[in-house]
Amino acid sequence: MNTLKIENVSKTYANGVKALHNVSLTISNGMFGLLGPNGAGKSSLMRTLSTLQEPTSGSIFFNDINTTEHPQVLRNHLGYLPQEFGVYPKISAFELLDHIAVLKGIQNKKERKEQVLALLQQTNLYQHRKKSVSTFSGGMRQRFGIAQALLGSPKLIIVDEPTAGLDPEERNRFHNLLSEIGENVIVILSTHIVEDVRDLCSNMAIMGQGQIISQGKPSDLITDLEGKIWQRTINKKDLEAFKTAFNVLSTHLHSGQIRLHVLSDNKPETGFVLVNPDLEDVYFSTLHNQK
Amino acid sequence: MSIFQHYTTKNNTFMMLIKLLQFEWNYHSKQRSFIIFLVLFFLYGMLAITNEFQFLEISSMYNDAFNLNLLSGVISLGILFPCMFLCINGLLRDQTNKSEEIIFSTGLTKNNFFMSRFLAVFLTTLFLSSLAIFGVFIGVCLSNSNPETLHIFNFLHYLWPWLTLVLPNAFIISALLFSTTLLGRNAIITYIMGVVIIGVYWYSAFTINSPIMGGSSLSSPEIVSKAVLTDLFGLAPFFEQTQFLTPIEKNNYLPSFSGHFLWNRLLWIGISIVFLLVSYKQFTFRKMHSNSKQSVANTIEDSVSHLFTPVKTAPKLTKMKFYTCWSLIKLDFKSTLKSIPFLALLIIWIVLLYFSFNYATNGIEVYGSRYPTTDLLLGLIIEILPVFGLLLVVFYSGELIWRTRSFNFNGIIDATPVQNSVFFSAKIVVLALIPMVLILVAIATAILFQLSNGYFDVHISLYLSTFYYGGVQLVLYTIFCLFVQSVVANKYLGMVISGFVIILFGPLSSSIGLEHPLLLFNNVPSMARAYSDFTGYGHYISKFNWMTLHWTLFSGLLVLLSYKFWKRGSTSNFKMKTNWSFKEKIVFAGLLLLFSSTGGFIFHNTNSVNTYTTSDEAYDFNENYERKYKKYDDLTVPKLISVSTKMELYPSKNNYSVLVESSIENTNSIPMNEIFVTAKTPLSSLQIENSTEVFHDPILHTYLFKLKTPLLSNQRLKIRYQVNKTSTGFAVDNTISTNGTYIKSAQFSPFLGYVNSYEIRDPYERENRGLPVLESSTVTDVYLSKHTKFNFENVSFETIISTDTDQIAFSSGSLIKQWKTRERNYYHHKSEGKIDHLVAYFSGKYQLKKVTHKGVNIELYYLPEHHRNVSEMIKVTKATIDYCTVNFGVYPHKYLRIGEVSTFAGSNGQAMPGVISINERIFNKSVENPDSFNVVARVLVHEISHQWWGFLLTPKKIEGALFISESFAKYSETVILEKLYGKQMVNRLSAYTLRKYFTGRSRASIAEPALYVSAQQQYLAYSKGAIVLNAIRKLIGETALNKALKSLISKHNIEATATSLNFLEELYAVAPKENHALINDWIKRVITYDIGIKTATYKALNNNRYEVNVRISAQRYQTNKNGTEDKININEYIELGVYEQHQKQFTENETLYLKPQLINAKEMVFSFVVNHIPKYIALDPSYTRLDRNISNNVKLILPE
Repeated sequence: MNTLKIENVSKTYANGVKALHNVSLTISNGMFGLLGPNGAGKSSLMRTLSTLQEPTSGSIFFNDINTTEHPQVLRNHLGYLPQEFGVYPKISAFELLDHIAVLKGIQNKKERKEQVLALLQQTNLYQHRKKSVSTFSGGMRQRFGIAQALLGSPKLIIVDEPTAGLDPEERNRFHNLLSEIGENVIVILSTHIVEDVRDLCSNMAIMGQGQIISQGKPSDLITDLEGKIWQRTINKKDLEAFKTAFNVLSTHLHSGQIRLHVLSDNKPETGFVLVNPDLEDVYFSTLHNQK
Repeated sequence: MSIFQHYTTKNNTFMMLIKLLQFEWNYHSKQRSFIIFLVLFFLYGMLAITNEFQFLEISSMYNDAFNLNLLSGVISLGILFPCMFLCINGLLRDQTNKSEEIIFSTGLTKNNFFMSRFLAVFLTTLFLSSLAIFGVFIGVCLSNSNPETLHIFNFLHYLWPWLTLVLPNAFIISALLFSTTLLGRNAIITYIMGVVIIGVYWYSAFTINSPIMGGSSLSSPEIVSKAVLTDLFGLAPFFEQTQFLTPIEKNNYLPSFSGHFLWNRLLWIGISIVFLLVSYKQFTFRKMHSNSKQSVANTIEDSVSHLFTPVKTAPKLTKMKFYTCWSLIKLDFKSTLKSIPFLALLIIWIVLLYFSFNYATNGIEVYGSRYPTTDLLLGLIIEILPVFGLLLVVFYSGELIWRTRSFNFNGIIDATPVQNSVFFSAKIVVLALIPMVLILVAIATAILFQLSNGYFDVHISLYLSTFYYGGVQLVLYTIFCLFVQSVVANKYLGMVISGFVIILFGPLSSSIGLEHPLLLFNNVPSMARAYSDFTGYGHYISKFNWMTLHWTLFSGLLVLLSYKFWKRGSTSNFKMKTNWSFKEKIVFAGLLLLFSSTGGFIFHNTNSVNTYTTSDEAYDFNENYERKYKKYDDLTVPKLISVSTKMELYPSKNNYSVLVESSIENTNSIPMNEIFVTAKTPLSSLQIENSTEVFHDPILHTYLFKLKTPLLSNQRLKIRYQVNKTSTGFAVDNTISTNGTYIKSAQFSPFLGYVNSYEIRDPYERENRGLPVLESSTVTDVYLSKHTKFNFENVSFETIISTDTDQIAFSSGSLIKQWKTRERNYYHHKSEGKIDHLVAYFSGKYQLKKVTHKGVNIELYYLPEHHRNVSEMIKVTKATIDYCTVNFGVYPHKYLRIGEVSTFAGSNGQAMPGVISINERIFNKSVENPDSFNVVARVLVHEISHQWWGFLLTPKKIEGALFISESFAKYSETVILEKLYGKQMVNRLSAYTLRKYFTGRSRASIAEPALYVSAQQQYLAYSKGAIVLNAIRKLIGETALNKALKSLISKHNIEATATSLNFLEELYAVAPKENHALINDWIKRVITYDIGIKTATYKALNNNRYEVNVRISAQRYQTNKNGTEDKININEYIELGVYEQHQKQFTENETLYLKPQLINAKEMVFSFVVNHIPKYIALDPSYTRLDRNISNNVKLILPE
């Protein structure tokens, strides 16, 4: 069982931006979802976990080893898919994967080749393996990214906004791949897409403005909101009035009108109906509470 | 297939390093710029061994040890450029490609990262330079040059320079650039480091006067030792070691890994290691994001709601286009020019400029101080600017064009409605600003330099013209580089192509045979040395303007094409938008038409109006001349008796016309039937009395006249010819000029016979052309007494010169009449008695200073603004006339005219009978500082003493003649300067002269002949002769030597009959018998010395006196006819001096001891007693011996 303990990690950048504020989490094997809006500090946390930067304060323990003091230990078991990345021009997918495999320390040429080919197949890039990576489409490039993250024998896999830019079919395939891996290793999925966390993750946390504002099992968090989510359909011109009067969580456009979700312990008004809460409600309510 | 198995991962093994290196090699070798460098370096190696390789002047064989070392150094210089690109590709690619996060989150250790990237750069750099050396080897194998210029293969000659130059230099350059790139993280900073390296090297090469910069001899040892360690390529210590080697020694000499050479290598390898260590320590691997120090603004709560509404745009409006362009310019300007790297660059530029200004004006060696005149500083700016400016233009053009792309912003920018033309125009403006900023800063530095040196004559308008004369070529190249970058899809490839084309059509053009100005792409005449206070840029302006117009039109075409190629969206090579609008087609056609017409005009002016000859064609001329006219070799050459000319000068029209009437005499015993004439310049008419013209060859400029009745012995004839000369087209004929006309009669007076010196000398060239072998006669004593075909002649001379009304004109001869008409000034000169027939005609807007001294009218004609040195010149003239009259002979004229001539006349000064010309640059020297050498005095003494050495005494025109005229003039310099300014100044001159001798000897193409039979070798007549005569003076005394000289003159002052043997006779008559052997050694044999002080100590004696003990070493060498050297014995008296101060600064009372010692063994010990504490001891303190190594002649005396 792998464990990742993040204890009171804070990060302030050189230009004064406080990206992380006293973040504490304990994660073990399985899919862990980190949900939060853009600018919440997810990528900062991901980069810190990937040993690309050091926290200003706090510590991180991977399998009881302090990663700030011994980053190399973590790197040996790390797979990281960054939010955006570039590739070297004029190098084929196979060659570049092979190179990264070398960087990760896979000595044996035969083992290396085997794994690279396996990963290329798994990510459906096998028939493109001799093409230059810089010519790949967005989806193909993401798949390449996941392939390189899985090289070696990672025990901690961090994927940062992995399904951005993927079409629905690719997204599905990606989910299947991730859930397959998630059995014996820690997979941290950082995203702002609520559905992905809902579909894949057994544990999650919600992050906002550099802090962890909520964490737990998705099902538990949803249950906590039972009986508190109310829905109503209104006209566009009435929106401002409702926003002032009630705890509006979210608004959706539906056939030209607006469907509201409101958080309230009791029925707010006539016209509202009780609905079953979902993860999106959890997400919006948590963020709303933080404000 | 399971993707999850446990793999053993090791991060720090040697195997991983090897794998990483393999990857690096694969990556680098796939870059297109690398392939191009590969080809270029190999080709350069091969082409270096060709006939055009100019470094053959220094050594006699293309591939001997010397040249292989030299080439290794030069190749190391070139390796700078590929290394820069390798560093940028090798280190910054993760940053540029944004793959940092993936690569750095693997287990890659800092060690492996550093080692693999550095070794890749170093080894690839080493590979490229080694490939070039290999190319040299191949070039030698394939070469079809004269076999005598190719050395047999010697592996050690290749290996040694590889070990001591190629390998360390690859390491040094890689280390310096790598460390900079690692810490700088910015391509521009790497380029700047490259420029810094060039600057450091340039400082060293400039200071030591390196042959690579065209220096004819290295600077003095003191100056060299200051800069020998700063040359990071190791060439300076190499030149230092080899500067005096004879050609034969150079063939096999491998520089010794000791002394300055060793220290230089160790120092720079040490510095490189330090750089690497520091960069390793400082480099924060993985902390990429902490670099941005951009401050982030606080978020502002938005209280007012902004409604989004669409706004009308007007992208096609002209005003809009200008506004957009201006906005783009501002953006790029800020990022490029307001950046820290650019500021660092400006600082380096200012330092380089200041250094050059200082060097050019301060009195180093014997060049004298110079006033910091505007044109001098400008010339320096215009000379250095292209190197700096072009480098920057090539680098910044790439960076600027690819800016948006490198920030990944191009997708957005390219989708706006801005036209390609606007983008491109903005780029041109910003890029062209770079050289303009450089020029502006340079002008400011120059003005500050002038003011801080107390010189207030600042020509603002001249400074402003620099923007045009210096800047225009850079703007043209800017457009070219931008064009290349628009067409090519890869930034570095574009830079390499731009750089390559610039070099190909610039410095390398002659080595591939491109000479015609129309073929030299983007080349405008360099105005760096085109300025004269007489005419301004006058002569050169027309050609400059036309060439500029021509290439500007071409650039217009390039601009138009660039719009069409401009990449919007996709990046692919050479894709052009094929839809040309009607307006565009018209503009293109119009430009093309204008371009062709300017081209035609230039061609017409270069080729048809003036004769354009390539170097090969010059040889063709000589061959044809010999083949057609050799049969007239034995015809008698008649002697000139009198010359009467009518010289009409039209300075404002750049034109002159001269009518010459001479009477000639048959001085031979056999009658003459034919006269063969070789004209130097086309004659508009030629008539000989009593004869008919048989033929006239207008191409080779020859005539044959048949005499109607044979000319008997001692009979005379009249000959009459006319020459009209106009400056036409682009030929710059500097003799006739709007101001400062200086025409030498030698330029237009024809030879009255077949000219043997026109024949091709080089035996290999003769063989190639099927010409018979030239028989060379051995020059012996008997040979010297034979009759020469063409001799110097004394004639009765008369001339009437006319010129414009605002100018004064003069020549040789007394002024017997002078009158004016409304349009012209007239001067009638006539010689009393006979003078040498080679006279000169001067005309200019002169100011005249007239002084009478002991019956001689001294007339100094100078430009009004050059008044500063007039009194000094008069003083020196008086002193020279006095000394020479007393010691050599009575001055034969009532007048002595000194005329200032423009800088284009070439040499510092020249002498004509009764008249001397002094170059304007001497008038610009400063004699205000008594510590710097007084070159004004030296030049004046030299030229005036020629009135005795060359005119009063005219030597026979045969081997040894130059010894008589020049060495004696140099002797006069020594004695008169010593009288006026003391021993120190003369010693300084002698030390310099000694070095000139050995350097000239080292570069001579034939083995050194003895002084008395020297031909045109400058290093003998001007240098060796000076030292030898000074030595004789010390040996037998100044009085005795002067007595011999006076006697020589008195016996040979009618006709040109004196030979070096006559001089020897006179010497033997006045010198004691025991000195004859030594005099014989110095003048009739080739003897060199190697003397020096090994140790010197002193101890105090009881009676307040001190005993000095010195051990010296001494060896003499004789140089044989084939160039080899033998050791011979030594048995002569050489002065030994002990001083209280360094020899360079002592005054007479600080001399404790000065006596000649008998030196007759390889090693000797002397001791003597002095009255005060001795400090320095010097062997041969007056530089009388041709001692190859004078650095060991002076030593500090240590207490025992």
